[in-house]
Amino acid sequence: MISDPHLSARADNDVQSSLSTKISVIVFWFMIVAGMGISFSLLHNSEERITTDYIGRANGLAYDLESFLHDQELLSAERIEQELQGLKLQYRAEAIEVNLNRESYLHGQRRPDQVLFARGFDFHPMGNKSMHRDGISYISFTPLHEAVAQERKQVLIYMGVVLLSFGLSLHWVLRRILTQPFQRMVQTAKSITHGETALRFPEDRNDEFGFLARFINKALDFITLKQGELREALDKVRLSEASLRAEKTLIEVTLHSIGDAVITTDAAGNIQYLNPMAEKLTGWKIDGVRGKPVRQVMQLIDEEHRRSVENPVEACLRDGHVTGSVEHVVLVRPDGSEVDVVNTAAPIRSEDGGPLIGAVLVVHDVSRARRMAKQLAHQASHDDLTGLANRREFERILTKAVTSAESGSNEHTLCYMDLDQFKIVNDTCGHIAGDELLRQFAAILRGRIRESDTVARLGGDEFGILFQHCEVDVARRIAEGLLLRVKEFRFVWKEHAFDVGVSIGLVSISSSQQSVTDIMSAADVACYAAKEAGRHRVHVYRLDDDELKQRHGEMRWVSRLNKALEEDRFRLYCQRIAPVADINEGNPHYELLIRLLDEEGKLVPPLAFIPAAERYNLMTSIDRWVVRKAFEAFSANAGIVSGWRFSINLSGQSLCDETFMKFVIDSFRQTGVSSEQICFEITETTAVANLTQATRFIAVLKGMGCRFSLDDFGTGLSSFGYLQTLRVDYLKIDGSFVRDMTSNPVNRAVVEAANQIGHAMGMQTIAEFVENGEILRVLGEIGVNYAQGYGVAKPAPMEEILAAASQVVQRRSTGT
Amino acid sequence: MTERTFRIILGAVLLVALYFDWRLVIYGYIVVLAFEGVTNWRIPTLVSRLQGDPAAGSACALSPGDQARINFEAERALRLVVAAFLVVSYILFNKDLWFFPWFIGFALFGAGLSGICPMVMGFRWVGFR
Repeated sequence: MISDPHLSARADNDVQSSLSTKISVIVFWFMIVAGMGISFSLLHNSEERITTDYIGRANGLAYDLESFLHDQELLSAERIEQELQGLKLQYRAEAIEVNLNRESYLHGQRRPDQVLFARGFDFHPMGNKSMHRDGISYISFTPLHEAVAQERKQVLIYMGVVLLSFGLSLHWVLRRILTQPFQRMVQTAKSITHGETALRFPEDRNDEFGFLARFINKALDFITLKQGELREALDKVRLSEASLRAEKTLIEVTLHSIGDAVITTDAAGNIQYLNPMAEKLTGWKIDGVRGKPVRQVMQLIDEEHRRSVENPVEACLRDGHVTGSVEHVVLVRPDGSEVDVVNTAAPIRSEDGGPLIGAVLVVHDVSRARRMAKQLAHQASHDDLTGLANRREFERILTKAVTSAESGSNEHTLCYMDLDQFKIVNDTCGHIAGDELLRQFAAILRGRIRESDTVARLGGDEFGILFQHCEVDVARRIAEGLLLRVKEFRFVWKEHAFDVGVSIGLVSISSSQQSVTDIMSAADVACYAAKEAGRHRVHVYRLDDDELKQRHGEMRWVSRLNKALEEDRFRLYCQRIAPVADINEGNPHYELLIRLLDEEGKLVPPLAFIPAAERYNLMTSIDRWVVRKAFEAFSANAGIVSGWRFSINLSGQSLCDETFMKFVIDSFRQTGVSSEQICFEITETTAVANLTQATRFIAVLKGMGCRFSLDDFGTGLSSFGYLQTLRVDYLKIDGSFVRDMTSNPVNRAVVEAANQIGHAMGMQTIAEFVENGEILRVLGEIGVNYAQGYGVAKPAPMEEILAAASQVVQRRSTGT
Repeated sequence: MTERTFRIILGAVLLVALYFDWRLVIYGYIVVLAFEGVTNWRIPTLVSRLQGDPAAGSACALSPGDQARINFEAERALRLVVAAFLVVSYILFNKDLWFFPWFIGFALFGAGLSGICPMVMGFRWVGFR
């Protein structure tokens, strides 16, 4: 049984001043009041009663006195005194005085306030009637007020003693039959209250207390039994509570540590709980929003259209199943800031299939992921260097433009641009300068277009602008304005300053166009045409444009060249480079020339396909083919070509190809060809345009023993400073100066100057296009070292030359 | 000494004095009670202090508790009222109120025996300490 200290304390206080005290109060005060009442009633008319008593006693005393005198023969004073004493005591008189025969007898004391009775009498002494005597007696009693007071005292004391005794007896009896058993029960109850649960109320009485004790004991037994059951139930409840608390703690810790915001609501959609992440995400505290509708806290809008979207909790509570979030939802915080979120609401039911009691909303902050996705999307669609759209994005937008133009109602213009001096800046000042040039040029482009237009970097130094809803004439004016702006622009890098030019090709996008590829190709061709036409100009693509037709023809070469490479339909020719002094002397020195064997078996000269190969980046493949085939042939005829030297032409694309140099080195290693037999020819224009790569390439292969020629010297730039950088062995004077030098003194002067420069720099010179003996003679006069041309020898298939050489060797070996 | 014991003594002394009609004793009785009431030097308290028991409690059970509104002790008021009643009933109007001193004597004696003093309870109910 559980002891309740509050109950026991209160009970103790109540009992202290309770029943026994009340009984005492009632008994004693009842006795006092009753005694007073009885006393008053007893003392009522006490004076009258005393007076009557006095009268009676006085009469009796007088009669007894008279009888006494009748019987006396001789009256003596002594005898009378004795009689009076007896009568005084008998009748409780204070004094008796008798007057007989003039004699007076007094017994007792007389006081003025005594009650006095006088009684006369006559008597016959000795019964003798002849003897008659008379007398008078005076009887004094206690004064009346004294008698009353005495009576009052006696009554009050008597009543006091009697009633006090009665009261004590009554109190004792009440204590025995009422207070004591009651206090025993109270004491038992106190002990039970203080924890002595085994105690029971005494059942030994047969009165009401016994009945109550038995009743209460049964109740206690029942309570004890139920208490045991309750204790067991309580233990189970405590276990369940502990388990629930542990689960609650687990859930709370989980909810507190979870990275997602969790919000629970009741069935009406009013918020009941926010975890810390939800508070952080929504910007609300739980105390501020508990009981408020969830839509007040979760203000969701569509990211794109900025319209409110339905809260998933409301949908979940309405439909009763899990509701996912629509995409691109933004949560608006109280301070107006926004968070990209995805959310899921799930219903909470009291049991499986039971009624809905609420919903739980899980909100995930996807700002970072969405930001990264946007960043990735931006990176995927934009050029890192310039920040402009990249080719992929540009083609996507272009595709949409082409689609919109198909209906014929819209016309757009594609602008294709190529920076003219980019390679020079890149090579002379480095890539960082080249990158900076691209950035500044991109900034210029951005400033020249409308918001609806798209500008993109298509790769390298190529840029594109899509003028939306813009006719080609308008676009041309814009492009010309751009040319002017670029002309004003000077790119400055450290101590260098460069004039930058841009070649622009324009293509109208209308319903007549076919595909994005066609349009891009046409724009590329138009840009190339602008470049070919002298750079820094605008060329508009037209279907009847001859030049552009030629470009298209070049484009068709791409597939033919690729197919020829696959089918190995190239052929190597050799043309001799001979000493001018005596063309029959010296070790054989040949320049390898390439021919294409077309599908019909006809030889195609290089001028027919090299421009296309250069334009469409096929030169590296062709150069590799030449090197591979030549080295294989040299290796196969090593005994024949020993001491010979072969010049192999290299394109600028190969020089810029990082893997090409490794390919050449590997080819030397694999074929065993002596590097001293090989002389690589690089045109002056190519070398200058790719000065860094050319310098590195020359340095590495010269280190291995290879030699180098600078081809077509004289047709390039006017500055010869680069010659000191390019450590070449031969200077090949361009044939356009040599061909008519005998009749053109200017060309002769050029040849002489070139020859002098070459010699001054420690190089040997080679004159091209030496078509006759006269030219050869003049070259001899000038001092040119070598000659090449029809006047020396015509190109012949390498196989024939090798076969002829082989026969010579055989003849020498056989002595024929 | 407790107030309860003192009340038994007071009642007994008064009844004895009345019975034997010790007027001087009753006059002295009145003086002592009046002195206690005026000075609050009550004999039970003084005796208890002399005995080293400073917490001499009230003799009256059923105390209403410490809810005093009047800063005057109920026991002190009891002395004054008893003295006044005796002056009126014993000295001034003894012929008509001869019973009242007896009532006071029995009441004090009964209050001492029972531990219940209705007058003190009444005073405390009114607000005396």
